Amino acid sequence: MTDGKDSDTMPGITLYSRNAARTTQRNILPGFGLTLGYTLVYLSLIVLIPLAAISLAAVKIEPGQFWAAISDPRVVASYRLSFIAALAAAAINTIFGLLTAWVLVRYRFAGRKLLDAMVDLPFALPTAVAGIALTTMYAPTGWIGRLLAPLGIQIAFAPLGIVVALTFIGLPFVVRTVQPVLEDLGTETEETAASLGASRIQTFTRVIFPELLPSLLTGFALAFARALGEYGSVVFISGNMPMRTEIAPLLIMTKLEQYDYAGATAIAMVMLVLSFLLLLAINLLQRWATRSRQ
Amino acid sequence: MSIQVNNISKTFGSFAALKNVSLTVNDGELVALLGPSGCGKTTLLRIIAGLEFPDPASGPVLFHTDDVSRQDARRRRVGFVFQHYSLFRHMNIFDNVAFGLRVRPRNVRPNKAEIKHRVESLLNLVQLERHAALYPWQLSGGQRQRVALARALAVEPKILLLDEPFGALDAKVRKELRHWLRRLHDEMAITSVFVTHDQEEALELADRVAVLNTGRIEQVGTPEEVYDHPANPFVFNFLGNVNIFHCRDKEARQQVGLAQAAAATTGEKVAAAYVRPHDIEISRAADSETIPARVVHIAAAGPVAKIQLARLDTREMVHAEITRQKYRQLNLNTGESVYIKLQNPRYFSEDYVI
Amino acid sequence: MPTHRAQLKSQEGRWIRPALIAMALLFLALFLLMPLAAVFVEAFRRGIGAYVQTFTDPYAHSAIRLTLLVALMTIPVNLLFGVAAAWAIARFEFRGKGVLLTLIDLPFAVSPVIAGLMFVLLFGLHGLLGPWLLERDIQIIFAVPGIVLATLFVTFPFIARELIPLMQSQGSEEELAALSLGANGWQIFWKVTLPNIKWGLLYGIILCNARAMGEFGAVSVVSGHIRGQTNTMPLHIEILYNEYDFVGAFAMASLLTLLALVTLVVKSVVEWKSNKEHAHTEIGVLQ
Repeated sequence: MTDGKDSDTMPGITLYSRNAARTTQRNILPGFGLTLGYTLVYLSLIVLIPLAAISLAAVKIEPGQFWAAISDPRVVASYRLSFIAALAAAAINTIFGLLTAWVLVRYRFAGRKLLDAMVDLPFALPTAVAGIALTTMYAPTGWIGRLLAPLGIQIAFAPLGIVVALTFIGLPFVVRTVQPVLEDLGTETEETAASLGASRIQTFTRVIFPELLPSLLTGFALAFARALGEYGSVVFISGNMPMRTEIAPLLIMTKLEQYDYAGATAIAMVMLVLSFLLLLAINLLQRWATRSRQ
Repeated sequence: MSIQVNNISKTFGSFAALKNVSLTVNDGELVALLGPSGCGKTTLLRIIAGLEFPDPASGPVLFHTDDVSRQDARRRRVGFVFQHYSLFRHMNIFDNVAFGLRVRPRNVRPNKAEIKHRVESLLNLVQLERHAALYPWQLSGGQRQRVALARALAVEPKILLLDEPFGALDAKVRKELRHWLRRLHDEMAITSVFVTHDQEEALELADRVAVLNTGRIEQVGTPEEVYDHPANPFVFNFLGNVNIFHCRDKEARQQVGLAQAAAATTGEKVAAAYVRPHDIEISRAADSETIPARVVHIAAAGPVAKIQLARLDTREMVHAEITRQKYRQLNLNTGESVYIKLQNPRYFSEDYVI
Repeated sequence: MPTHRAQLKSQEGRWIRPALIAMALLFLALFLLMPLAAVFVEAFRRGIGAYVQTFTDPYAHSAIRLTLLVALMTIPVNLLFGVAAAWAIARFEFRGKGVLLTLIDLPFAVSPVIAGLMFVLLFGLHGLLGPWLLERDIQIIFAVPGIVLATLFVTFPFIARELIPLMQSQGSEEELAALSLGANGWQIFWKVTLPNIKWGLLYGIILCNARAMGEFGAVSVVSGHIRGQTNTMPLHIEILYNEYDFVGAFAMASLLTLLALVTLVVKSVVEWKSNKEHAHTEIGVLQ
């Protein structure tokens, strides 16, 4: 079942095997105390203490002030924008990610390997670089913006631009979660379905799609979670207009620059809780995906 | 060096893999741990090796007279051959075999020339001297198995432990390696324990066989002992094919051999007679101890003729194996009615659950 | 079966396959290739002379230096953590392992801006440890230590994430074999474990490096944007871009883009290597 793809996919989408192939009690090898101890200490220093710091800061804010901070219309607008844009980008990535994975797995054409490798570009390219490159392309004078401007479509410096940036940074997730499943699936199941008289569309909707669903949802959730917190690529393309193209992370930044630490903390806390819920959902989805693949 | 384990228990979570197991392996002996998968045989082997530690309440593991219970695998100096060989995939065959010598502390480490000499003579022993520069993936399963053995022997262990040594090989290679291993053991006279689920392998190769089932040792003995005098139905059943004749009442007892059945079953205790297929005698003449049966199927190809019969009274199936000569004498045909007689039946009470 | 395959192909229709390929290509070209091309086109818009000229700026120098310094400090620390975590998690059974795995993933789920904010709340002037640090004249926020800390947080899971599934899938039998042959912990790690995970480890390092050099949001919060002192390459790109020095911004961006491309090449090589080794093991099992 496991091929190379499983063990060295990009971060954020690798499925841990919860019970490794050879289940043995492994407490015989040396170094358990040392490595686990170091892991826990380092985890506490870099991740847990900072998290505790922000939670503590959030608790210290008076409830009234906290509520005022997060119910401010500008904040609510930023939440709505972040949420909807991330959702839209994740949806686009789900559709085109499935298409890309399908084409890369099932068809052989010149340049396929190169494209396959390129899919990971958004993981490796700094977000600021992506931001300025996309802005240049989609600005009214850019390669694509120029074509769309006469039609009255504005992408850069408009909400649409945010969706474009978030689509870019979330692109690899769906492809990389669906790809290994599709490779495992092989063509045999389809051929069986076809030999039983199913049409091509029936085969897809009844045989292939249900198999892909867990990984598709996992990829969607990962892309959504990543898009929700994204900052670097969006600030360049969005134009950062309050109430219109201002995403939540940017608003945190603005509050910080105004030394409004309480406001920044309140906005961040809401986003953190949402992120953790998403992480939980992703964990459950991955468990489902692993189970359905066994 | 002898091995002695006393009252070993091992639980994984809520699963008891071993329940109070005791076993002694004498110096220079070759012992098989035989049993179905999940019976605890591999766990016992790994506990002897120090790759697994028993539950705290267990008794000690002794090598000769030394208590090694608290030593880990590194200090026990046993040779262990893993089921999947576990060769180091990034090292060639020479380096694999040399590993155990090279990781020794500097003051007891042989010098380069000695290591080379030792590894070469071991590769000679396992007939792989020309493969020294190859990598594990370039070898066949049987060759890998021999490398694993050479690697384990390189550290000159006093005890050799093998986990399903032929498990992953095909039937023919298996047989060859089996004979080869026996010869090797006889030459080196190193105390050895191997795990197997194949009764033929255990009976053919081992000096003594320990039969395990659900975490307990059911019987320990020479191959003849466990085969001819199984301690219970499980051992009887596991070591070969068997026909079971129920003797619930007097009438049934009469049918399977009145005198013996009466002697074997005290009072009205329910019993069953266990008979191996080659102990079913087929004849054309009836007497007081025969049961009428009809021939259902005949498979006469091979060293023995396998006859499937149906008892005329209970319609139960009976499997018999007779020599080809006997088969020709009887001139059996499918559908014919004959008489069967039970030789060497063993009686066990029926409440025994296999 | 050839007949089935032929049947499938004919069912699929002659146009579906090229249409799907074309759509996927269009999507990838639009979202991957064009931005990539845009970086280099913009960087060389005024010619190669103008491109080279941008790197003579001392601020550009100091940004590159700082970025290299941060990566150089981040990678060893996260490398040590990644190996330790992978050893503990992939080689031993213990309670709470699932929770630990989730906690290691946590930084993936946290917005980079919030990551930066957390360190400001901890070490900033108004933060928990702010007064204590001020008394001792230690500056973390708006200084290099803050940048390193924020980068450590953001790149925290990368190497561990790469190694854990790899070591889990390899199992520990080879290490147990080494143990039974008398090797000690260090010998097992250096002679058996490390050679088996070297490609995954290399990829984890190169990926961690790419993120460490490219991190923007978290670093932006804690850096203070002091030119020549706390500006990393991505932050310097932002400043140049906002000052309409597009050639300068894209020239700097082109360096980071090259780094990203190198990362992808290394990934492909690693994948190819591990697939090859995997194929070998498979063949062996069949024999």
